[in-house]
Amino acid sequence: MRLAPLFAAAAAILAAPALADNHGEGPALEEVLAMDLRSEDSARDRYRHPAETLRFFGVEPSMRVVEFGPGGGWYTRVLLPWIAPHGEYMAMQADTGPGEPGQPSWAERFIAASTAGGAFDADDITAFESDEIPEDLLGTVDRVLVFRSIHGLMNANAADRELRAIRSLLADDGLVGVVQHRAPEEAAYEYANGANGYMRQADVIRLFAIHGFDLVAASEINANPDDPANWEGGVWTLPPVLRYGEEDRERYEAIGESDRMTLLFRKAN
Amino acid sequence: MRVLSCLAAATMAVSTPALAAQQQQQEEEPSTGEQILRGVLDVLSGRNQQQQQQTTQPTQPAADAQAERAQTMEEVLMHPRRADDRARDAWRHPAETLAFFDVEPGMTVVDYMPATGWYSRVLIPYLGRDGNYIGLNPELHPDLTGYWDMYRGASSRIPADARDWVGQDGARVWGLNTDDDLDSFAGTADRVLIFREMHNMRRFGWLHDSMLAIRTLLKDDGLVGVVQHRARPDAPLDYTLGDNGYQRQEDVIRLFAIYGFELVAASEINANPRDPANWERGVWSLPPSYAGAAEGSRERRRRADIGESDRMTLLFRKVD
Repeated sequence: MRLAPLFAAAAAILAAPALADNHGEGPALEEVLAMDLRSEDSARDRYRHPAETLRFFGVEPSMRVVEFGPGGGWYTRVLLPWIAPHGEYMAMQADTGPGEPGQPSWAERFIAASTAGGAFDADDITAFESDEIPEDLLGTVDRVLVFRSIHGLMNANAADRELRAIRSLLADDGLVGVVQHRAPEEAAYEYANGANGYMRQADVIRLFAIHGFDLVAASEINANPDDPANWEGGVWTLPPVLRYGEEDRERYEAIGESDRMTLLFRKAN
Repeated sequence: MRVLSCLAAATMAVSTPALAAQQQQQEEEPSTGEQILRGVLDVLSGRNQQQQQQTTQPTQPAADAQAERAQTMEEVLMHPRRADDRARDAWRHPAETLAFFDVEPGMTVVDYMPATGWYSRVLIPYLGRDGNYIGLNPELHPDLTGYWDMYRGASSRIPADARDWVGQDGARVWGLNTDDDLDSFAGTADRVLIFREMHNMRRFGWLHDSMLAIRTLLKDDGLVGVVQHRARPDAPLDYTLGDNGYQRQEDVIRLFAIYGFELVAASEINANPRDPANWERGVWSLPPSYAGAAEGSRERRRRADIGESDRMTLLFRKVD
């Protein structure tokens, strides 16, 4: 059984009255998910379950929410229009080191890319790297969301540094939501060390425990039992990457995106 | 109670007949792999050349015989070169600790960050002429300079340091940084020993690369021995991230689990129940550093009575 026993406790937290809809003038999450700007994104909803996942993480549009490592902005296009009218959307990138002189910073590039289509206003986006967290944000963030980034942090020798940064952002009652490609618990370390994208759920929980987070709840929202999670080519064998191109493509598409854990942590102590 | 329940199981694992028999076999007849390794190591070090030169020169048979004979741990610990080191034996328990880690003469042992060589002056002579001592330093961020420079260029620096520490006595000495090419050393280490560096690995960003290097160097049946300043199990997390030296024992075990190691045994050899392990200035408040307690002060005497920090002593093995 994969569900943590504290699932019941989590359900209790998630069902709290504070979560009742009170969106005022902003769009409801379902309205955001149906927006035209997501016309290319929505094909992945059946694998990424954005509504269920954000509800499980207890995200409210009035909150201060940090998306860690937004990448190509798939979740940004859900979070930003939903949260900006009432709360604050922020994006944090793992420290990319000293930039090239004269080149735009990651934050500048992210804001430029996010506003390129004209759908979003740069004033609604706060973006920073983890070594440049604005001082007044420390200890104030309600949710930090980490979508499929943990293996990358491990591979880049950055997990310790970035989890410290995440902890420093979080308010005392803040929560961290994590979605991560999942290796079977019995997978060998050599496979599940991050290099193949997949990690053992127990290891992710340990990693957060070491850095001062308690598991609140685990969900199977983003599970995919059809994924054996042992591909020689790693998680990138499956959609959306499909690294082998046309070779066995039908088989990989029938399986769908990877098996994923969905974990919610709170700041311990 | 601090001793883990797996201590009993551990004792069994360490004294298991299979392991002992295997060791004996290794001592009697080095495997082909080991013979090849020694050949490779000889070439890398120029030792072949040294030995050839030695054999063509007149030698003193008595001195040679003494050098060839493995020194007992007691002889190693009583050697005059350790005159200044010995004051800390009461806190560091080198004989008991190395016995717990099952370190034997003739082994290949990796010492993570030998620094000023306190443990090197025990290990190199104890491992003896058939042993290999590998000092392993991390890759240092360019910002870490000054004091940290001594950890750079380990391949030349550690063998040179070792000559100052122990002369030509004992094991062959190698130095590596984790970003060196480790291929020729892969799978050669019987033991990797990490003395009070887990907090530095965490706070300076060395953890991941160091753990991967350790896995690479270790034989499949190799073991990792760890001594680390120990925080109380209920210490606040902000205290135990690394900056105060102290780590929660459970966190160190978790950390090794993440990197594919399981706990074989935990020992209280290096425990000090008088240490409250909550010093505002971290573990450096205690001897030998006494941070913030002036020489001759009452506070300094109080801390001298407490002694060095409370420490966990953990033994891990590689799992799949």
